[in-house]
Parts: sequence; C-alpha cells; structure tokens
Amino acid sequence: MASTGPTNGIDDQAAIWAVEAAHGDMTPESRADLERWLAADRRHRGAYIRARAWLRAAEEAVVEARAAAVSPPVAAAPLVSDNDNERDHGDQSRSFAAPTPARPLRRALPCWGGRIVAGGGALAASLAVLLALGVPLPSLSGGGGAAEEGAGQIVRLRDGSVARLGPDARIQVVLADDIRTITLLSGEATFEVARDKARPFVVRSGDVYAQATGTVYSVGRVGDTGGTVKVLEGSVLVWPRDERDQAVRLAAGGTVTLDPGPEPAPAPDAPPVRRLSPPDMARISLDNVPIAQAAQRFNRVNSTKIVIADPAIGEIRIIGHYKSNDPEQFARAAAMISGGQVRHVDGDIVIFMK
Amino acid sequence: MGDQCDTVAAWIAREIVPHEAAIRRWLARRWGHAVDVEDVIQEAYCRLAGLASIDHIDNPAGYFHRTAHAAASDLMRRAGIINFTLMTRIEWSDVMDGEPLPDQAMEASQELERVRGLMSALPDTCRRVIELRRVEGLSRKETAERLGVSENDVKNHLVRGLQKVMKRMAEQDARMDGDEQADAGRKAERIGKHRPH
Repeated sequence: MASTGPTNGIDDQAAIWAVEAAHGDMTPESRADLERWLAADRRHRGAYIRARAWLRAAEEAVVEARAAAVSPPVAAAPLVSDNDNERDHGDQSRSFAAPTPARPLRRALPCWGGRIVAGGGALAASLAVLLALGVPLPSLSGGGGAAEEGAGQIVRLRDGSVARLGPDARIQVVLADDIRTITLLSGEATFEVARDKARPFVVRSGDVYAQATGTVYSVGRVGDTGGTVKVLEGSVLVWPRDERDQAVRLAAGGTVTLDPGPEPAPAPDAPPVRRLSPPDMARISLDNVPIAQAAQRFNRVNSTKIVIADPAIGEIRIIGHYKSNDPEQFARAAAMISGGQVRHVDGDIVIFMK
Repeated sequence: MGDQCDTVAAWIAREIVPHEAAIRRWLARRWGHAVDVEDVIQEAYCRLAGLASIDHIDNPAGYFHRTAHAAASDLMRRAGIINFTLMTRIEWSDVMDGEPLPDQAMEASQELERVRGLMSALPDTCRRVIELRRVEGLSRKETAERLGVSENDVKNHLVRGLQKVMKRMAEQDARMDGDEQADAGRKAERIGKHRPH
C-alpha cells in the first residue's frame, strides 16, 4: 500500500483499498491495516463498500460491453401478432422507449463471463399484442441458468415480466397502457411480474382474475371457469368475475382455487376486464404518527397483524402514505426507519430491534 | 468484510450503484443544507452492506431511498434537528408503497444508461486490465506481462480508473443539481396528479 503514495480524501483511499482487496495479494498485515482503517471511522466503512461496489459495477460494465461486442446482436423473440386492431394503446411506445433487462433473469445469470444483454430494443419494436404459443427466449442463450428452469417455455413480455409456461399452457397477452391482461387459455403458467404500479398485471383464468403489480405467482386452469392461484413472492388479489371489491388477498405461500361455475346471469356486453376499476387501493396516511399507533390502524383493517416487539420502536414517529391492505410494506418501512427488523411469527408480522 | 458477503456485494454493484446519482441529488435537494450528503451516502452503503439477506428486497431503488432517508434522519436527529416533517412530506409520497411511479422507473433506466456511459469512459488501459482479468481470467502477473507493465502498475491503473469514475459521477451530479432545482416544483405537481385527493 505504501507504494501508492499519499492521497487526499476518504474516497481515494477507499478506491485504493477496494482495488487492493479485489486485485492485490492481501497479506495478514495489509488485512490488519485495512481493518484498522475501517475501524477508525464509520464513514471509511461506507466509502470502502461504495468503492468496492463501483469497482465491481465498472468491471461488469466492461465485461458486458465486451460480450456485446463479441457476440452478434440477439434476435428478438418471434412474436406472433394475433390482433392488429388492439394497437390503440396510447403512449405505449413512449413508456417502453428505454427498456431495461428483466431483473429476475439478470439476477439468475452468473456474475462474470459472457453475459449478454437481452435484446430489449428489438422486443420493444414489436406489437403490443401477441399470442404466445410457447415462444422461447433466445436472449438467454448466453447465460444458461434461468432458461433451463422447468420443462416449459419461458416467454419474456415487453413490459419486462416473464411467463413460464407449463406443459400445454397457452396464454394471450394484451399490454395496454393502463392494464396488462394475460389470459390463460389452458394449462398452468408462472408469472414474474415486472413492477409497474400504473398498470396492474391481471391474469385471467376462465372467470377468475388474479392481479398483482409486481410479484411472482402461478395460475392454472380449473374447468371452464375456474383457476388455481399460487403465490410465490409478494401478494396477489384474486376474485371471480366482477367481484373485484370482494377480492381475496393472497400472500406468499398461499394458494386458492376458485371455480365460479357457469355464469348465472346472461353474459354482460363488455368483458369483465373492461369493468376493472383502477388499482387505487385505500391508503393510510401517516403524518408524524408513532409507529405503534400506525400499526393499530393497519391491524384494524387487516387479518395479518403487526406486532411491535419493542416499545422503543413503537415510539418512533413515521411519515408517509401506505397501502392500507399491505401491512408488510408498512412494517418494512417502519423497521427501516426505526433500525429494527421484520420477522414472521405465527402469521403475524413482528417488528423487533436488531 | 471479505467475500463471504459476496451476494450482497454483487447486488449492491448491480442494483444500488446505478441509483446513487438519483439518491445523491434527492439528498442534496431536500436535505443538503442540513446534512452532509457524502456522510449520508456512506452511511447508507454501510447499512446496505450489513444486510444479511437481500431476498426480501424486490425494489432496490426504493430500498436505497428508504435507507438513505433513515440514515439522513438519524444524522439529523443526532444533530438535534427535529422538525423536518415539512421538508420531507413531498418526498415521502414517493415511497408510499415501495414501487416507483412510472416516470421514476423511466428515470431509473436512464440512470442505468448514464452509469453505463460513465463506465465506458474508463481509461483504455484500465479497461484492458479489467478485460484481461475478468474476461480472459488472467492473473495479475500475467496481466502485467501482457501489458508490459509492473504488477503494481496493474493495480494503479485500476485505482486511477476507479477514482476517475467515482469523481466524474460526483461532478456530473453537481452540474445536474441546477436543473433539478427547477424540476422540483414540477415534480411536486406531478405527484399531486398521481394522488387525486
């Protein structure tokens, strides 16, 4: 280290250590030096972590650029257009002008070596409507990993969501600018939903609907009208036909099968999707309210209770607007603010001090 | 701080670093007069690195935002500044449910592009070192031989590249701060529209 000479600023010093740790030979002595430097000031620790992260990000960027330069551009999935007159989706193209690679897929890929950036631009240029009869995902060919998961096909949707189709599964996708509607025609499929609060992601199986704004869940057909919804991550609203206000909220690990059977009344003129109300869920607004008091408000309207294990947490005040039916989200924010931690105990959400 | 927390480190590099500029601007705009932005950023990274698991975080940008918010609040509490409710009210609506508003999602992808651009501005030798080390998998010694420099120089090229990237990013932010000021009003208006009550 001495060879690098004097430096000014914590960041410069942190950069030297970051390179040393990643590319040097850390001797016991230099390790001790580093530990001493880190212990000297909490800011050193933060600066060091930041420098390591930036080094890593820089390396990944170089590796990625290199991979992109070496491999030919990835072809877009051969999307089959089903319905050209569904093209009236407003500023669709604007929202997708800067597509980002699907996060869950990126995460599944190995860190180093030949990672290929998915051909988002080409995908974005295709139509909003597609009938995906098991369209494979060629953009993953470089990464391996995720593509091999499960026997079924993986379909990457233009919004960044990913559908994994089980055997015999067929889906129909309509991405409008206020709603993303996927109709499961047959079989079973799992969806990794790209977050987009403005456009709820609704999977329809017969007369059963399952809505999320960003999560992982699977839907399987049951008979002519029913569906089974399994939630793997996050939470999903499930309801039959137009009873959206009666929707069941299903959390991770939950499964529900609904089969409403034949429609009792004559079929309405408009399909139920059109009558879907905007996803404007009730909010709880907190203006400098103690966390304990805020938790009570959530507990009044939710079956999943928030328990504050430590009175000190309960006294800390919180500001913000939260979905009233998502105590989990609030609990995480409260834990973040109070320096606590969230744990699930017997179906309750418990916030306690670390 | 070895490589046992490699998953978290990789996650920070991929999911957090691209949002640093946005968080920095937000901190400077809202709280710059009360706290040292560098201190908050460093504290936020510290907290993120302390995470035992990242599996529960599905929105890294939002999480970074909240972490920085918590770090800033703590610093301000320590400094005896208690009444920051008004200052943060508008920003708080951003973190309502941890999902970025659509236009924020757009901004995030622009951030990503910007960071990529920044990386491409690495000095050539530094790029070459990274390629040899990470793409071709050469050792430091082999890398030094290939480039005809000393092993120490290999490190120095990396250090200088890294310092340059980090500095340039802070400078860019300083320049963009002016525009952001003007944006603040519009942004508040936009948030108002998203929340019609």
